[in-house]
Amino acid sequence: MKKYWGLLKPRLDTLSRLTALAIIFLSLVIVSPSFASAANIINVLRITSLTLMMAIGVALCMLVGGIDLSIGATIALTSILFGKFFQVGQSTASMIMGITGMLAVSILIGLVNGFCIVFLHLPPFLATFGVQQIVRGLAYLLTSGLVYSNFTEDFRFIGGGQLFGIPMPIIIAVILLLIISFTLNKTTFGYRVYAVGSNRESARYSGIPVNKTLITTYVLSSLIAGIAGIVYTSRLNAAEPTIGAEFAQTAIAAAAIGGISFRGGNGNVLGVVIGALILTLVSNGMTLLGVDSNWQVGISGVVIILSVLVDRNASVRKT
Amino acid sequence: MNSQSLRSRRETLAHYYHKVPATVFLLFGMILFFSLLSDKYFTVSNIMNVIVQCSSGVGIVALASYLAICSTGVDLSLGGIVSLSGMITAKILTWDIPLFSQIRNNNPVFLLLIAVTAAIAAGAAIGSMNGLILARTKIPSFIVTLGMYKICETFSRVIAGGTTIRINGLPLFEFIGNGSLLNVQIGRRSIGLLPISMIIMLLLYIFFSFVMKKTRFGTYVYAIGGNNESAALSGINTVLTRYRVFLYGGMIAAFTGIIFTSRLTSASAQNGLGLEFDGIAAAVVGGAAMSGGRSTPGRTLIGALIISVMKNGFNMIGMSNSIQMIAIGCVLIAVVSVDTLRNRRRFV
Repeated sequence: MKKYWGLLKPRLDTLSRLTALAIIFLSLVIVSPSFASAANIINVLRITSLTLMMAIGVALCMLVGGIDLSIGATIALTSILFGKFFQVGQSTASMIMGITGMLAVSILIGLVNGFCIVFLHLPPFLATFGVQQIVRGLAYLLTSGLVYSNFTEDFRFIGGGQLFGIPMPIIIAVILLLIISFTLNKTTFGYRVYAVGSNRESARYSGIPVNKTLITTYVLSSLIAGIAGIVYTSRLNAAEPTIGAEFAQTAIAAAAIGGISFRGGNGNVLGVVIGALILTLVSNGMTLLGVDSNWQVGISGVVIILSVLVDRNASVRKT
Repeated sequence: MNSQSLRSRRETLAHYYHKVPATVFLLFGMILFFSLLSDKYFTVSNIMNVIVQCSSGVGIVALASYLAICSTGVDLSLGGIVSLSGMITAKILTWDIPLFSQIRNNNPVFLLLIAVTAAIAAGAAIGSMNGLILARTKIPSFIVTLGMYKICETFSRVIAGGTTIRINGLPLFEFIGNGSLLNVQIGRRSIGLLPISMIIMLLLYIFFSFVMKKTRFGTYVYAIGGNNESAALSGINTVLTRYRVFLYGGMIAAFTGIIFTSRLTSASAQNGLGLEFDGIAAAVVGGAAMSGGRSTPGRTLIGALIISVMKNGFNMIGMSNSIQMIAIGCVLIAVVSVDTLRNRRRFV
């Protein structure tokens, strides 16, 4: 018995999170007849995949003890850039150029974030908030009030197409998930991320290149936001500077529900998947049940607070 | 060295010069910058305009943000509280149920008192919910206040019922946001030199300067911000202090809601949403550190003024909204990095 408890104990948080997810899922199956249809489940998964992509990036930053508020603005700016590039040629070549440009700019934003945090010693909350302001300002500046739309079929395939009957966003999210999961669990970089997040000073003294790890993490987060931006722009078939205003909050909420600690060094990718699923299931369920859209906002707020409470580490405070 | 020469040295100008926070120079620099670019900038009417914009927007919220940041938290629900409390004020003032209609006809001042009290009570309720959860659990304040923000937004939208509530025929209420005690006539326009909203803002700041400096509560907040563990070990009731920080924050934000609604003489659910980030920016530009325990209400007010001056200034010189966002982001990063670099040099 004790042997099993030893196996179980470190996974208790994941288990309780899974239980919460299962309870939400089952109650939706019982309450709403249209929920359990294959079409709706695929729809839920497709919406989840986008939240998941952004949440993984933010989760990486939270694992090193930081946070990334700039991802929504990054998605807005990169999609505007794509619109600009696309307008030039409206061909496959301009599409590839646009996508390359999107990824390059998102890496640049990540570098700026990392630079502010590592070399200017800014708290991550402020650094990424400032960068978010600048990036969204640039997005507005570049559009001058235009909305780009009507992209080519090729590009729309990324967000709206299907491969073997599975929507592309899901495939992209799963691939991304596997890569990040592998990186975190099996590579030196992943080990460094946890070490830096747990205790930055001791990581530094044990010879881990802390600054490099931090910058790489923020670049990765922005890069993943860039990829999410491609998928989102393609799915929306439009680019405008207002998109993504609440993406950062949703992503952080998903990561927090998934047990990624704000102090860093604690949490895994599976938790983020559960967090993103819980958020999407709740909003999808409310829509199916015909809950008034005004109330949906508040109920999602209650769900965020309650589902973080499931975590053992978040439960009772003594001081 | 005898004590007399020490005292005279302390009272030299240089001593006072070092006591002035660097952000004051930034504020004056900015005003100078905008005055050079636009000849309409440095006029009495525009300066009063900036002050009213500050006191009906970021000014008071920044104080609440500062309290939360000082105790190593962050309060994202402030924008929601502004929206909700403003909405409750408007709803009570215009509600067509027999009870309120009767009071409105007989004694409008009493109705106004009810509305203001209800708005502040709503702010206190949301703030104490924040505080209760944060004091008793280890959920990060980011998550709790984000959830509360959404709850506030919902209540605000439900009360509004999809429309904008307009308040007509209550001059006393409009006086809170638009009125002024001392008016001067410049040209054809009458300009208020002592706007009520500014007085409310200053009173709140003076009160909280006193609270943070002279009362036990203030010391406790700084202690928690400095080191939560050692504060708890030295016998400070950290649970209660943390609760009170967010309770007061909610009540302070409710004042902004009332002033905001009064200034626009209408309330929509969108009012005030997003102010929480302006408030955080103002508190941080004023010198608050996200790690807690630093800055004062006075410095926060300077930070709020800097944000307001910037927003107004970029409008005056005809810069677009996008340039404003970029500039605020740049100033935020610049000010905080100068601040951190200076502090590192002093201590390391």
